[in-house]
Amino acid sequence: MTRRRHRPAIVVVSFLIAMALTVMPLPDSLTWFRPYWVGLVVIYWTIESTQVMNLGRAFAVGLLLDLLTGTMAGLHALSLVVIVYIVQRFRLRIRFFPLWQQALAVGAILLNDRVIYAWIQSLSGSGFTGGEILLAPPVGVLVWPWMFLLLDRISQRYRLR
Amino acid sequence: MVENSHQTEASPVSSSAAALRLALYAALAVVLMVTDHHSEYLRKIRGTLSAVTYPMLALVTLPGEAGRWLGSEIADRKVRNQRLQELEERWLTSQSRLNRIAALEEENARLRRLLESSPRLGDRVLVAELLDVDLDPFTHLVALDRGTRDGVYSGQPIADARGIMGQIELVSPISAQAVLISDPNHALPVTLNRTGIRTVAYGTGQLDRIELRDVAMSADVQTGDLVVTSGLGGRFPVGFPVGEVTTIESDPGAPFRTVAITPLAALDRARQVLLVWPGAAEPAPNDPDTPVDDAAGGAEAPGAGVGAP
Repeated sequence: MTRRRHRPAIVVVSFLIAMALTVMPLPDSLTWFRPYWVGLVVIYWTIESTQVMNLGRAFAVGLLLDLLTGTMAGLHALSLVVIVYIVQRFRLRIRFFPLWQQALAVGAILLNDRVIYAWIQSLSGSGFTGGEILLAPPVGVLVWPWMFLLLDRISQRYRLR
Repeated sequence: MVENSHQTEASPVSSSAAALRLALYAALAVVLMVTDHHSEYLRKIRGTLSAVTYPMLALVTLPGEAGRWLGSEIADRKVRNQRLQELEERWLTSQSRLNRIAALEEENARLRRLLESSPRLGDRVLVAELLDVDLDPFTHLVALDRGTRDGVYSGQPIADARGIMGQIELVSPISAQAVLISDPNHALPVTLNRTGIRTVAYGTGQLDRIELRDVAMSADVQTGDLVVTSGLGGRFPVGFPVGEVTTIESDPGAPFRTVAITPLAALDRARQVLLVWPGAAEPAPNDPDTPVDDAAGGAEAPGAGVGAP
């Protein structure tokens, strides 16, 4: 069950798409509703297989995301490493949750992440401390089931045997 | 490592090993952030490395660009002619105004020579395209399609046709990221054009508002006053329009007044921006395809400015 092997290409492509969605232009009024795409994909692969995601890779993906979005080096790396650690701890449980319960768990993880993220941002001098940061995680919860089903379908089709 | 994380729930030994690894990575991330926040060196590396992610940004802008291209392709001939005529008229009026300004500039230089003060030099500019992407929502960053190979340097001012927009923060060989004047971390040395009061304009995190926070209660400020760059600090050119005073909030208990300014530059709508080399050369190579390597050498020193930290 945990011995599933995945094609690296699928993993890489899923991350590239998540990153593209991260910088995709949105109307100003919707900026804060943008789900944490890369975080969602990281959670998916952590749940799906122990071989695809680990702390080191999460760190690397985070650094790349920092480069892409122009944030301080290490900010997204920290965020993703923490996410992967939490998911790894509860992996066997989350894995067998029904989809809606899984979505709620994902929402809790994302919320925790946004709070840490906003706290670090405010330490470094950004003037945002408002409730805007709480808008993205619920969107993530709504997105999760669909993303899970989609990625599951694709990764099952292209799994190595 | 993979084996361990597979068993995290089962064995306490591997779970503490995972916690240790987490602590190590977290510490590494914190060290990186602190270094990046305080040292120019890591930022330079980050700037250069951001060339790696530039193709992704360029790719994301493709659909929008294709839409615009298609729109202009199928646009009505009549509409296009109308637009052309409009632009020609505007070009004519601004050209005649420019001619007058050229005469004034010459006169100004002459008078300055008489006063034995150094003449103000013209600024060299280069047009850059803003990429249609959203970066981190906590900061007001924009991505540009020009980099060090065009002579762009960190700390360089950018402007649009109406006013100052911000300054370059990170540069890679082929791209750059600029922080807007509305970013909460940005400070811009300015002068009130009517009265000559010098002060600093801070970003607020709102695109349509920047603030003067240390205007004395007795200072002469009115709504509608034009705010221009003062050039103090040596980073921004002198006399570029910044914005107009919209509201003046004076709290009787506070030592200073807060003056809200609406930026003149279209911070959220601009598609093309001007990269400015303050006081570089007179004839501006307006053609974006002109190589500009030789003149950029002189402008490479950004100077100690009151800018974004």
